Amino acid sequence: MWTAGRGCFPLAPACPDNLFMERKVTRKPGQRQTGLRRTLSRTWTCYLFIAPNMLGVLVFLAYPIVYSFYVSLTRWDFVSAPRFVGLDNYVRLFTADRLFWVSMRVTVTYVLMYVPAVLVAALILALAMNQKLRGIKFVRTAIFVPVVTSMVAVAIVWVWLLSKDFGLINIVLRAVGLPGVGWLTNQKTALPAIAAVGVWKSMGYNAIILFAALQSVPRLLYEAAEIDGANSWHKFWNVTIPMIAPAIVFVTVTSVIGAFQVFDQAFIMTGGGPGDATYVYNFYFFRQAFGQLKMGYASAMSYILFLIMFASAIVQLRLTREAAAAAF
Amino acid sequence: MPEPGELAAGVAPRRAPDLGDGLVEGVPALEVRDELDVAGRVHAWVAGLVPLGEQPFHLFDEAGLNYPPSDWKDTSWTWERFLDACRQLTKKEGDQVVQYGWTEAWWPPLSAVVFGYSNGGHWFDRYMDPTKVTLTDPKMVEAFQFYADLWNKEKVATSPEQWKVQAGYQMFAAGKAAMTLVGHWFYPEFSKPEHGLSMDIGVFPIGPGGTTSKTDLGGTGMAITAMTKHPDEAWRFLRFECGPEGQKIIARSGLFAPTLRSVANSEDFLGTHTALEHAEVFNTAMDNAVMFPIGPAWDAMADRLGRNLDLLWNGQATAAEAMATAQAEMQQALDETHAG
Repeated sequence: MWTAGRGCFPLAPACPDNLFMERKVTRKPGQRQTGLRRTLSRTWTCYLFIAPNMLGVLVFLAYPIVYSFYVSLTRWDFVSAPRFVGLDNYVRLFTADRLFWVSMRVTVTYVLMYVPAVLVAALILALAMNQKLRGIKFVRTAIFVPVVTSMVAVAIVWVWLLSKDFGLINIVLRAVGLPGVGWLTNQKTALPAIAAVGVWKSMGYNAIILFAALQSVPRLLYEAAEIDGANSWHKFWNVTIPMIAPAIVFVTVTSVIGAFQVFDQAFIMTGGGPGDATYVYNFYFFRQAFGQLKMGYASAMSYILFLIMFASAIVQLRLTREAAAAAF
Repeated sequence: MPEPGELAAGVAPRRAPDLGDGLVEGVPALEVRDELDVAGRVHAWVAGLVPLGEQPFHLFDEAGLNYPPSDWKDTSWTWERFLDACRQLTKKEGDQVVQYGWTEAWWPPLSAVVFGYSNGGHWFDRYMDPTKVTLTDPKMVEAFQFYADLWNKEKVATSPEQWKVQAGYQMFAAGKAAMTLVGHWFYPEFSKPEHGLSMDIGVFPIGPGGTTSKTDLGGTGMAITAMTKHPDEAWRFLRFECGPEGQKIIARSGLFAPTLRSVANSEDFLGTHTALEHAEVFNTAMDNAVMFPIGPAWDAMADRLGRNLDLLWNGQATAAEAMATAQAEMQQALDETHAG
C-alpha cells in the first residue's frame, strides 16, 4: 500500500514508490518532529527531481505572469521607467475602448466557428484513421503534416488557395458554375476563411488525441452491444462517444484556449481587416504592445486573456472529472 | 558647436553642427531639438529623408504614348491623361488581363494621399505634430475614389485580390504593370539586369483641384537616448552619418536618398541611377513633398486608416463612407495620444 504524502506534488507518482510507503518511524521518547519536517524528510528527493523543471516554470512562467500583472498596473513604453497608474488600464479597456470590445467580439465569434468545426473534423478524421484499411498508416502521417508546418507558411499558401482570381478553391467553384468569392477581401467571409485555415492546421493534432482514445475503447463493449442488437449508430453514440468523452472534453477545452489566442492567420492573411472583420484580440494586443509600445495597456489586455484561459482550465478539470465519472 | 559632454550631462544642446544645406527647405539634415524630447528620453533627432514617391514607368514606347513629365508643375499631366494612358497600357488576352496600366506597390492609403495632395487636398491640419485629421477634405475624397476606381471601375490597375498574391513591385518588375509608385529603395532591385527594364521616373498626375504634382516624404529618424552609456560615440557617429562622408556612403548604396543637397546633386548620388534619364526627379521631389504625420499616434491612426479603407479598395464602400469612419477613428486615436 502506498499513499502520496500530503505535501507532495501531483507529479509524485513518477517518484520511486518506496518514498511514499508509510514507514514506521521509531522515535525516541521526547523527540518530536513537526508535520512539515516529517513531510520534507520523506519527500525532499521528489523536490530535487522536479527542481530543474520547476526552475524553468518559475523563470519563464510564474515570473512573467506575476510581472505582467505589475506592468498592467503601470504605463510603460519600454524605454522610460514604468509609472504606476493603478487599475486605470483596466478601467479604460472596459469603459472607453471600442476596439477592445470589437476585438473581443471578433475573437468569441472565431472561437464559436472554430471549436465545433475542429472537433467535428478531428472526430471524423479519427474515425477514419481507426479503420483497418490499406495505406492507413500513410494517411495517419499525412494528416499530421499540417500540424508540424509553420502557421506562417500555411497562411501564405492559403492566401493563394483562397485568392479570388487565381485561387484553386475559386477555380473549382467556377468550374461547377458558382461565382468566385473574394474570401479574404470580403467582410463576411474573411473570418470564416481564417477559421477554416485554423481548423485545417490543427485538426490532425486533435484527431491523434481522439484516435488514441478510440484505440483504447475495449472491443468487448462493442461485442456486448452487438449481442444486444445495436447497429453502427447505436454503437457510436452509446459506446464510442461516452468512452472517448474525456478526450473530447480535452480537445474542446484546449481548442477553446488555442482559439482565443488566434493571431498568425489574421496577421498574415488579412491584417485584421477588411474593416473590423478579423480584428482578433491578440492582433489588437500586438498593435498596442509592439506598434504603440503601450506595454502597460497590453499587459492588462493579456491579463484579461490569461484569466479567460485560467477559467477555461478550471472548467476543463471539472468537465473532465464529470465526464470520467459518467463514463464509468 | 555643442560638445558631446553636454549630452552626457543630459543637457540637450540647442545648436546642431553646420553640415551644409538640408535637402528639404526648413528641415536641416541634423537637428537637435528639445521639443521632440518625448518625456525626456530623446536628445538628438536626425532626419534621414527619403522621397517616398516617384512614379517609375515603362512600356510606354510599345503603346506609342508620350512619357509622363518630370516637371512637377506640368499641368498637362492630368488625371484624364493619366487614366487614358492606363487604359492604353492595359492589355488583354481573351478574358485575361496580361498587362495593367497601374499597380499599387506600397501601402494603398499612402499612395492615395499622393493623388490627394496632387488634387490640392490635405488630410491633416499640419504634418508636424498634427491636431486635426481632415481626411474627408472633398479633394482627398475625390482623389481616393479616383484611385479605387482605377481597379474597381476602370479595371486598368491590379486589384486588392492581386496585391495579396503578388507584390506590386514584382508586377512592375515582371513587366505586367506599366506604372506604379514606389520608394527610392526599390531602384536597386528594378535596375537588376535580370528584369531587363527600360524605364524612367516621372511625377504624379495633377487632379482637377490641384496646381502642382506632389508626393510623400518620410525618413529614417535616429536618436540618442538619454540612457545611453556611450553618448560621445553616438554623437560622433550621428555627425559622421549626417555629414558629407556618411551621406556619400548612403547615396552610393542606391537605397536611400541623401539628406544633404550637396551630396544629392553630386555624381555620388545621381551616378547610382544611370538607368534613369530623369534621376533628378528624386531631388526635385523634395520641394514638392508632404511630410508624413509620423508621431506617437501614427501606429494607432495607421491601423484604423488601413482597415477602414480596405472596404473602399475592395469596392464594399465609397470613398466618402470609408473615409468618414476612418477620419472619426483616427481623430479619436490622435486625441487619446494627446491626452496621454
